[in-house]
Amino acid sequence: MVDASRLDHRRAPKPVFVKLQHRKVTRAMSNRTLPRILQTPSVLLLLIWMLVPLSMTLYFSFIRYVLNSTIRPEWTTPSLSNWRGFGNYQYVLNAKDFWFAIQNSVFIVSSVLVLTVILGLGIAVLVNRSFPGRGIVRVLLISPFFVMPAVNAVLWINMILDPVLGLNGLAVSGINSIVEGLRDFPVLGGFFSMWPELEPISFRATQTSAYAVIMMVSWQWTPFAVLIFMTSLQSEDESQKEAATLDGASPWSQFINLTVPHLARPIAIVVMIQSIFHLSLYAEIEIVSRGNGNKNLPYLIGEFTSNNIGAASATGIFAVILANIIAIFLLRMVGKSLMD
Amino acid sequence: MKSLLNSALGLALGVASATVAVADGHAKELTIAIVNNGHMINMQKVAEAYTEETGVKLNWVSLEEGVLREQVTSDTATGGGQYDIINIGMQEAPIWGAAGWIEPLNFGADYDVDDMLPAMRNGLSHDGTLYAAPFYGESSMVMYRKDLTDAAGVAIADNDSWDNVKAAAAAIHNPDAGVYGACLRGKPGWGDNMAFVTTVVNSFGGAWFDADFKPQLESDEWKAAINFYVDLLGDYGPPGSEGNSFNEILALYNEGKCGMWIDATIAASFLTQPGVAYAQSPNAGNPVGANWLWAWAMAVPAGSPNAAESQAFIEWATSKEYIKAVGNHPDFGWGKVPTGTRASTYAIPEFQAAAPFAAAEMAAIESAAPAATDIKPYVGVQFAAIPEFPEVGTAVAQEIAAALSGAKSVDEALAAAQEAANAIMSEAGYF
Amino acid sequence: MATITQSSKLGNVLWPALAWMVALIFFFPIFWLVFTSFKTDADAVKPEFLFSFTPTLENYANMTENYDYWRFAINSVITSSFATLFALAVGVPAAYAMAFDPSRHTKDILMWMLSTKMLPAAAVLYPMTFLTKNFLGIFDTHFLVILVLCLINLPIVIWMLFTYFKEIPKEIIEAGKMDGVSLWGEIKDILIPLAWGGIASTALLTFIFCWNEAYWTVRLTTVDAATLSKLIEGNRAPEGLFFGRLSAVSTAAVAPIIILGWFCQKQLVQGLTFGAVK
Repeated sequence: MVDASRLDHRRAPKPVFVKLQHRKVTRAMSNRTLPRILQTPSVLLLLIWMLVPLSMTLYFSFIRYVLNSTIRPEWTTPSLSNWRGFGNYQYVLNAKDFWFAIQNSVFIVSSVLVLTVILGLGIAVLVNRSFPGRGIVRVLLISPFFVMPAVNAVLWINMILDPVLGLNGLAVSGINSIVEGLRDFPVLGGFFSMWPELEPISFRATQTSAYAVIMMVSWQWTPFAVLIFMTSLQSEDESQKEAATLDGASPWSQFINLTVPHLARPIAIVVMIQSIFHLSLYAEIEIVSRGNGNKNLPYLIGEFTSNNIGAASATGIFAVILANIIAIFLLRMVGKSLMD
Repeated sequence: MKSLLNSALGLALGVASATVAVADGHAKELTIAIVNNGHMINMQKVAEAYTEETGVKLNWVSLEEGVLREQVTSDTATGGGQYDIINIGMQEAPIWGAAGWIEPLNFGADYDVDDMLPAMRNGLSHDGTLYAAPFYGESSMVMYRKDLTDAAGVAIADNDSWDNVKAAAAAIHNPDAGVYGACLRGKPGWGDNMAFVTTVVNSFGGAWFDADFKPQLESDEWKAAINFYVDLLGDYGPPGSEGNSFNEILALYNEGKCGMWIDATIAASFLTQPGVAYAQSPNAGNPVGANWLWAWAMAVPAGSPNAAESQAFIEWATSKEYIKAVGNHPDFGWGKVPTGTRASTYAIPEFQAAAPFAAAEMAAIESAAPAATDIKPYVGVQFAAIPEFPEVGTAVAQEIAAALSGAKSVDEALAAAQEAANAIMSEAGYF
Repeated sequence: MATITQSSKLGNVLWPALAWMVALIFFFPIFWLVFTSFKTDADAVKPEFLFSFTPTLENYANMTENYDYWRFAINSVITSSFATLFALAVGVPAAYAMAFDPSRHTKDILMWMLSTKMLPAAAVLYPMTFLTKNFLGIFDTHFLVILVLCLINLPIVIWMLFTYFKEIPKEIIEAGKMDGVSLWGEIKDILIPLAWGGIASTALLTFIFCWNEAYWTVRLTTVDAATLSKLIEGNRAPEGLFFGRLSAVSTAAVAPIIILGWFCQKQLVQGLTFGAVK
């Protein structure tokens, strides 16, 4: 055991705190100091990781700082003499697409969450029963989760969703030719001739590009939800279920009354981890339509970074604020249950 | 625990320092940042001979265009020194030269700098000093399916009027047979849709900025040009045009789905569809013309410790000898030499035989006029050579794409574009 | 379970059929990627559906010859493994302390850690580049990539481990203390064997996240420490249509991790309980 008194003066905690703890906790002193020492490396590392670059971002956000300027060359070196106060923030707040980007950030994350949880639940229930080839089915199902984001986006937008060269265009023209063929039938033909010729949807348009992102991200992360839900379903109490079956409960009411409550915690986990990852989507946004119609805050920061570091930094601070609001909200909602 | 941590840390540091040691081992080693276009890919192979000859080891860092710009800009601006040679375009070269970010280039007499096409040389210089050497250059022109226009009884002339081009597109447009009248860039990006759109605007007599650098996006010329562009592409373009740029349209064209394509002259060397004919870009009689001018050039970041070796490599890679080396290379041949840089290339008989588009390309490059005029008071054809342009261009590009998608009307899109451009320019201190 | 299966004969056929269909739909894009990687660049953009092309290995040959695939792959292996190791080395003690000696602040610390994970990378990109290049001189080193990958995954590592450790009865650890086992012995001989499943699946998940990380690894490297995600970025070109090549590179970049995932699937499924098994 580590000598408590020796460690104590190395990282002396506030005296009041020690007293309080002392009164409450009956264990030996070492039990209060040791945990702190064990936690110190991670806390310290994360603190440095968070504070150092972030304070630089904060500094840049209050000064004029551009990478290149022919008319104001003095702005190209970061210096306190270029102090601007809240000017960058004001500029960013009024910039094109700022509010749109915030809205989109939230829209994309929440849509992906809803889709993956619903699909994940359904698929997890589907593969929870034993049937021939279940092992292979599971392997096939979880594979998308291992694909790199950039590969995912290139694959989907070019090879699958492209309205002419992708499978999207191929499928639509296939349906069209089937409908065309059906028109020649004597009775049904009248019905099918009322069908309009389908036009393939372009997923890079302003109106649709956010959906393309949601689709590809959901494809990648549904397997993650399936993994978590599957694990949790396996731990479900089978005797309870059997009793319910004997009582004549339908499979649906069993699902709603027994399975879903059991899954509350795994759902919280899926929501939590995914929101962490999807708030900073970047590659997908860029590859689908370069921010046309699907711009989120990280992408807006990227656009400013091409020259205006001051504005990029101010947007970065807004993004940090948004992330923290969502974090507090999320942790309140789902975090508590995860900690207990 | 602590010892475990220490040993793990030590291992990682070891890995890091091992790579540093390797880097120091070779005195002559150049790191070159490139975009992954066909000619640059070929260069990696052709340059094996250079390494053999000189002993200089070349590290190629190929990057997607956007990431390349981001990395190279921040590296050069802060004097990061990650690269010895960087691939930049005609938009950056004069500005970066003026800012002192890149070294002036001085080549020997053998290099024959006067052989360089004047448009290229001027576009890559600042105050008469060359800052970046063109690896390959391009203008824009009309490429179309002569079989289709003949069958439809229409013709496209050099510098035709836009109305005739539209009529020709209408005549060959046959979506039921999978042929679309006109394939044009629509993917948002200042180097993507705006490259083409700006040439249309130029030919309608419009410009990005006036003499005070006030954006002119709501001028009658812009409105007419954008309305024309949206109508043409909306009526006779393939579905999903707002996502198409060079690559996507090249794929469509080679699949026989395009009747006409107006894009970079470099495209001509990739076309596999038979019956292609070329025409100079449509023009409505404006002296600025409707051809764009672009080069992928190579430059040396200021303060590079290997500046001399870097210049030597650039001198080799943009020389007449390099072009001959590609032409005579067993893997490539004369159809694949980088074009648009030197007049002498176009005089080589083997090249003329292998490149039926050579004359049209040369004419297009020669007629491009990047210099500032009364109508267009800035340097650059399809861009403005000012540091803020990428930001302005990106913002406007998205609005134009929104208009093309039908999410906004042309007037709404241009109003939003004007507002955004105004904000960026006034933020930058122009007014 | 058995009763449900017997209750509907139709379900016996429909259920597996539906499961197979869903699995095939989900796997299809990956199949398509692999499939495209055997086409030439010209064939790759053709919308024709199946076998109207001659398969070729030229894309894979090109990838190893011209792009030095193995250098990128080795860098990915090195950085992902060490980052995972580091994250565990720092995370296990922290999670251990939080799970077995929680204070009033433990939950707050955990939540704070998770909230650092939500910071958008783009917000600190420029400072990070500036700092690592101009002040620390560690830009484009394995060390930097390992450090950053470790740091961005540390919150999730600690949180996952915390949930596993909490499921271990405190009495076992206490008993160890009574017997005078040292701290290191406690972790090595009691904690790790007991929480092995959780640690292994945390490691796996972290490794996957590291391997697929494509923001920092692309932007903080040049040559020496460039990973597979950078190789993929380099194969997207503005004026060159290389879907065949891009598919081959992508396949080669995701294949190791998919295969690893397949092999460790059972482990992952058993381990991803997040302490949910009571």
